[in-house]
Amino acid sequence: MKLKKGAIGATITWMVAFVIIFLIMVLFITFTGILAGKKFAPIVGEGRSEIRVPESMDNLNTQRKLLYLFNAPLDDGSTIKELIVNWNLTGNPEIKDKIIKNVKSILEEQKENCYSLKVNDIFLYKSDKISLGEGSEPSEAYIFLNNQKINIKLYFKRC
Amino acid sequence: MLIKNKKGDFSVVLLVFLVLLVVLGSLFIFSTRSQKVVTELSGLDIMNSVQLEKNLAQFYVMEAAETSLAESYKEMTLHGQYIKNPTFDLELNVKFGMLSDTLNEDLGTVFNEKFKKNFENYYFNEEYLKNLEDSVMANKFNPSFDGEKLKIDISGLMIKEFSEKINVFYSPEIFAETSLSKIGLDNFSRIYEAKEGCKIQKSAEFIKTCFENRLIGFNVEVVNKNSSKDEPLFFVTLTSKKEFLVDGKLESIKLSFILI
Repeated sequence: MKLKKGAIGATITWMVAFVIIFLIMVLFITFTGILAGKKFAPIVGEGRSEIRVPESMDNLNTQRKLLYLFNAPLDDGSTIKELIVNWNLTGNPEIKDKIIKNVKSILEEQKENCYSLKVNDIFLYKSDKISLGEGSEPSEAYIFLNNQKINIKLYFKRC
Repeated sequence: MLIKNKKGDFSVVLLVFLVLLVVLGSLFIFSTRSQKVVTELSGLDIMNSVQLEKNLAQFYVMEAAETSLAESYKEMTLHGQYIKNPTFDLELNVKFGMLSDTLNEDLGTVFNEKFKKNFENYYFNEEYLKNLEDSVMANKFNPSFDGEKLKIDISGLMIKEFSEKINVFYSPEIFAETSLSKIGLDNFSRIYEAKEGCKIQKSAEFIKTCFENRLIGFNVEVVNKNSSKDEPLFFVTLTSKKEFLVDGKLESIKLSFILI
């Protein structure tokens, strides 16, 4: 084997280059691993995440309205929920009228929203501007009373 | 000179720099591209449903809590359980001396039973509500009552919603808070304080007015049961202004006692 002076120099240069390139590769793999493991990559340069949300949040608002309607205090300290229970127990038409009157005043507070309230398949209050099958899915809740379920549905539509 | 720019050395240095450039370029693109998320939440309805279900679960817990609180309160009024070492006259009317030391604990124990019983009567069709019922039946609820406020939290509820692309598993802790004044009743401490403050009055009429001024949730009737004798014996009846759903019936809650 004959090693010339120039060949020795080139070999040494390549060995150093190999070490540097090897270290760069190791660093690359390490950084890639760190970045890939993060749920939120650090912001480098310009860029913002964008999430487009569909507009339909009506169900949540209707449910909120229904639960508010149940528990809103009336002039005499009672609530709509108590009146519905009372009406189901006694069948008193005066209580029914009282429910209708109070439901109407609560649901007509916001003119831009139209509601209809159904208790056990009877519409106690129905906005003229809502036809059946229109608007969002109704919000529904039950009141449990002596082995029976009182089904209450609130329908909503933007007027 | 230590650095000699020979032909062979230059190509090696160039190679190293090119490798470095490629690596840094890749890292830069990787880090900048990975955080630019442009997406449309097409499955948001499913999150909406989950929130609706959680709200409804909370509503039923609140319902059961308020009904159970009224029922427990009524149970404590029976046979003077709210009174410390109660004594009775010949007509079995209880004499109201001191308030029971274990009143809150006793009411809490009764509440636990009533709460479970009420939940048992809620026959749900929905899977997550059945799951909530199971949690209550398995005593996975933690009520605390301080004489006025009742707080209750329930763990173990699991809401599952599935759509074409997204599966949501949500196990929220359900928390409800109510109070005796919120449901239209005066707490026993207030009734005791009213009794202590009003017993110095000399006539039934004054005692009635005194109680009415101090209590919010009750109508008051006072009768002197010993009118023929010198020493009056006042019999007080407190009837709640509101009616409560107790064991499936709407009724007022009554407390009757002899003022001592």
